[in-house]
Amino acid sequence: MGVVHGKGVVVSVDAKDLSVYGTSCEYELKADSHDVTTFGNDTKVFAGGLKESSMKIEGIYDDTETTGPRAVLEPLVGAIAEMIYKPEGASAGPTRTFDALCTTYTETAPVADMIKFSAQFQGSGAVATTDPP
Amino acid sequence: MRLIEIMDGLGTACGAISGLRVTPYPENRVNPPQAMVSYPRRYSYDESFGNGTEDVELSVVVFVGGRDAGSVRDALGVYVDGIGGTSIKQAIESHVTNVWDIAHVIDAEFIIATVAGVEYQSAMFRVRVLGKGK
Repeated sequence: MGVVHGKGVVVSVDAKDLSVYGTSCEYELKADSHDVTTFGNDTKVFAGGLKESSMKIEGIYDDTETTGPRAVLEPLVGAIAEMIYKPEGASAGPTRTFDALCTTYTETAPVADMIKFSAQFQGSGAVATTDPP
Repeated sequence: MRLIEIMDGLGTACGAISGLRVTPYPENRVNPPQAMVSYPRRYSYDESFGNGTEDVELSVVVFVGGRDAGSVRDALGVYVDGIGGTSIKQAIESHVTNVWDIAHVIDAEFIIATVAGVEYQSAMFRVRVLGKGK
């Protein structure tokens, strides 16, 4: 086992595989921290709190009907959909599955390059992580 | 995408220009006015996850001849125009094909090209082609 290249990432939203349009993914899992320092301590003490996940997907805009990023992502703004993220590819590594609220869909159109898209998701509920068999 | 189909496709697109001879590959002889599709300067894979997108940059070179400097300029100028029936840019970008998703003629550079010992005034069009990697 060792380093893993990003070219095989699989990302699916609302049962639509957007991998072939994606150029970058940013998955984050974090937790609140609570200060539980009491008298008599010389350093602060913290306890973990609620966890929170988020996901950002960026890629090359494509107008393919039904399955392209515009067709899939734009209608999801404000809605919750199932997110499936496999950082090591379809047949290796973990599968992370969680419900996610699409908070932002962005299209960026430079004059001398392809149109790009990005979408940001806020995780809703726990992230289920399964390891490969 | 497939390189052979890309080069053939660009040749077909340029072939829509009346009177312009086209070879969809580089060769060591020129019969102006002639367009020649060159090998890519760069063929990039994995532009999106799962090799979903490939990004290819290659050149189409148009060679012209003429009796004097003025006729050479007039011969070359019509191919460099951004629009019109003799425009390389319009011919390539309006070509409908399943080979690529989009072809963009980025710019044109003017060079004196020597082919088989003969100098030709030419314009080298940089073309970016994007399509599906699988």
